[in-house]
Amino acid sequence: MGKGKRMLFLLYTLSLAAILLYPVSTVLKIEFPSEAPAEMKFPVRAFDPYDPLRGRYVRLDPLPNEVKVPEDMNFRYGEKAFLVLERGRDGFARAVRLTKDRSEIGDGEIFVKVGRVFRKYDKKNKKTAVCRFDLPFRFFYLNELDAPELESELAALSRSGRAGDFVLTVRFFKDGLFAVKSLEIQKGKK
Amino acid sequence: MAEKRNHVVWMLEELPRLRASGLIPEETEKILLDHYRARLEAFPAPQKIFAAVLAVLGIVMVAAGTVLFVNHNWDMLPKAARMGVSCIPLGIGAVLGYVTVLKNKGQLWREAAAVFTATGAAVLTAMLSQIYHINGEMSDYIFLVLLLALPQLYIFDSFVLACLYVFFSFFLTGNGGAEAWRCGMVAAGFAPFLARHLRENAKFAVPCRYLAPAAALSALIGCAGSHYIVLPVLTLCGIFIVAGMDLVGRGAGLLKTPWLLPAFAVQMFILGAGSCEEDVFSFGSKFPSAQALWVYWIFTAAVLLLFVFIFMRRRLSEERALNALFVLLALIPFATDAPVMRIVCNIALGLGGIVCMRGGFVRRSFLLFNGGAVMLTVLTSCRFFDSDIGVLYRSAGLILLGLGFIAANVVYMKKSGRA
Repeated sequence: MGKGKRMLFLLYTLSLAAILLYPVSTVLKIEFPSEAPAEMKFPVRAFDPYDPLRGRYVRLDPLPNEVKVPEDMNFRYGEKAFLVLERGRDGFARAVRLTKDRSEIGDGEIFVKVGRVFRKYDKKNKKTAVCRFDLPFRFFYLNELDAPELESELAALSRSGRAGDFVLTVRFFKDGLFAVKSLEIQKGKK
Repeated sequence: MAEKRNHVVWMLEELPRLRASGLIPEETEKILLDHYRARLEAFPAPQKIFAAVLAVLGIVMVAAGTVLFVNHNWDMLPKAARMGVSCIPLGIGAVLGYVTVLKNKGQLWREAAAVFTATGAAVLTAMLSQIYHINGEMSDYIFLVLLLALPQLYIFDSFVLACLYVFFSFFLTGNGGAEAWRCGMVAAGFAPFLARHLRENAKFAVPCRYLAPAAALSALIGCAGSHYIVLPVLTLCGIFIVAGMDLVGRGAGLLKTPWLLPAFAVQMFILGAGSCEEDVFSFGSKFPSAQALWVYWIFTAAVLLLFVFIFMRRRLSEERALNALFVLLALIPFATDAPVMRIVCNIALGLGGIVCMRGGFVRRSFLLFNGGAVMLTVLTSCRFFDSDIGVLYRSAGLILLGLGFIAANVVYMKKSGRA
């Protein structure tokens, strides 16, 4: 094997190792976490779009989706930030604060990266500093056999005006990694 | 390829005629016939191409059906099996990659290996997200996949992957896209590939000339979109126009120089709009973060340095001086808040038009001459549609100017001997 060929072989092997690094480390973090993950619940509204590329999934609109911020904190529309969360006594998540700088988040704090942050202005009180954001867990993939059942359940809930009766349980690992555990209808598990 | 095949067929038909008219002896005809028949056989027959297309379609259908079959049974598989299935595309890519590297295969294999490996990485990451319900931002996913695709681009020198890389880099830009530093990283990672292949005798020199404006646009929106974008836009236009004129000067046709007209159109649009509206050169009311500002200035400094480098490569000419002037005028808002940009743009367009028309006339350059004519047309159009002069006077003025341009063109073409 020539020197050039050996170098290409080595570089290609390294690039494959780099490709495998993220999936392997993520699986290890989730399957064998160094600390037990914190579990939190989020009330969600669920929609059921059909998407031939993604197959069966439910589109979620989880809460909380706003938090108070310091008055001088501005965001460009669509900017990303880190949301610090805490677990309430009922197991549901509470939004604590929003920060642009990850280094401001202390050890042991549970956080998640949120998108589409924008400052919400109150016409009556312009000093009200509240930011709205999108939590990142917005899809829940379904088993093809379960999907029709959930679709009919969603349709019934929409007709009765109770589209917010879903609860999403999310596990938070170290370093902002999270994995959705389950999506439940409050009256009965799905 | 098709054109060369036609040439060989024409030659084969021509040889008996040449012998019949006594231009070549029979022996020469026989030698040439054997030579060109052998060359003709080396070309892929149209039937072979059709068969190849059918084979590819068949493979795609089988693959799609397999994906749907796996999809149907997906949830019945244990997690480990699902992860294993997700690794299959990457596995195919790896096999192709190692065969290509070890057997020193040709460009087709290189393209296939690069695209399959990068696609395998994208599929594996997406499937991991699906299996563990790790939702997230699309821009984070695209950023990761582009970073992982970058080594394949260089290892296999793949043009197809380069096109895909540029296409998907647009998904990082705009509202809700990735942070500016990520867009900057993606652009910086691609720049050496582009620089290498834009050299005159490079393998993908002409296709990369088409890819370069798209890559520049993606980098521009991602790195400079949140601040004063006019400066980098005019600088990039200057780069493409000056480099494009250099290529035309070396004999490249307009089809092989796809930079000139779009860059000139954008430049004229900005200057024309700037001559009507002061806000075109304003900093806007956005709130870029300190990090975004850093990325903006690094990107702008990089394109300014590139402009200076391209500017210095050849002797000073009208188009070089004008493009430098347009870049400099974009710096004026940093020096003063006074509303001077409308006047500056009017002067720049008028001056540019006269200088280019004169330069085109003296150097017998039709391109430069018409460039100047367009500048003056933009200026007069903006002024006539933007002022309080009556409609009748404006129409008369435009007709007269139009006739003037046509007359100037006719005189120029007669003088240059092209009429």
